[in-house]
Amino acid sequence: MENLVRENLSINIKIIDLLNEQIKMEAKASSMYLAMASWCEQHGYDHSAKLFYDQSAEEREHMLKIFKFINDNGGMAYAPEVPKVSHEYESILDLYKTALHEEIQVSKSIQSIFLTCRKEKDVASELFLQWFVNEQLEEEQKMRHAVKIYELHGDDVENLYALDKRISRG
Amino acid sequence: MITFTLSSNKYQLNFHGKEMLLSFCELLAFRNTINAIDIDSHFYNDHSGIEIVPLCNLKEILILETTDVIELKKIIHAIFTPKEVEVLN
Ligand SMILES: [Fe+2]
Ligand SMILES: [Fe+2]
Repeated sequence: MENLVRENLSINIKIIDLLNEQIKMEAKASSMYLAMASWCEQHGYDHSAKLFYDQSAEEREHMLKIFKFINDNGGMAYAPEVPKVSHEYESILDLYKTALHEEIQVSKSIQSIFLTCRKEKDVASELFLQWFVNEQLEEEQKMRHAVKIYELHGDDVENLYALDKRISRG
Repeated sequence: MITFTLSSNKYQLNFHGKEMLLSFCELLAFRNTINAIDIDSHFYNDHSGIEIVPLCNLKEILILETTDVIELKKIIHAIFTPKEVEVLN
């Protein structure tokens, strides 16, 4: 019986389950960034809004990348239910801190699946996830950069909108 | 009694005498449905102890009792657990 499972699946079934969980996480991130884009637009942070619209689209791409990987390798990907996300933030700094925190959670999750691939000797999935490990470093850096800018220079209200322009310059 | 046997690239499920043929993707979907059942909830007072489970893209429907769910969880786990030597070689 196991051989037929192996004939049909190129990747480990445990990894497929974990990747389906990761799909939910990417969908949640995509929705959260959309909410953040909305908050930024409402509060006049146009550059940050653009960043979050783009980020939301990227998270959806991440989700689809995993989705295709599962289906292409004989598994079954599940369209995620998207949990409720917050539309309330105390300040632009609070918002970026939340974004950074979420990215760190995603990084941890990716790394944990990566290590499970190793344990299960699922080399193909491990290679697939390598891209995500690197991508997460970039995403964390992006949010950490914004947090730093607002922590260092955000005391002055006048400054807040000037700083918004610096965000997009990265 | 519940058994799964292989018959030329399909999985034959015998569920208390009722026989069904599952393709691999139907088996995957079935696995997901069974895994998603919260067995603990069966032991709360207000639970009927019955699960109604669609199978093979809605071609079949199974009515499962608590013991069936437990057995199916075990069987499906075993089907998908490779023996040490066969791990993705
Ligand atoms: Fe992502
Ligand atoms: Fe991200």
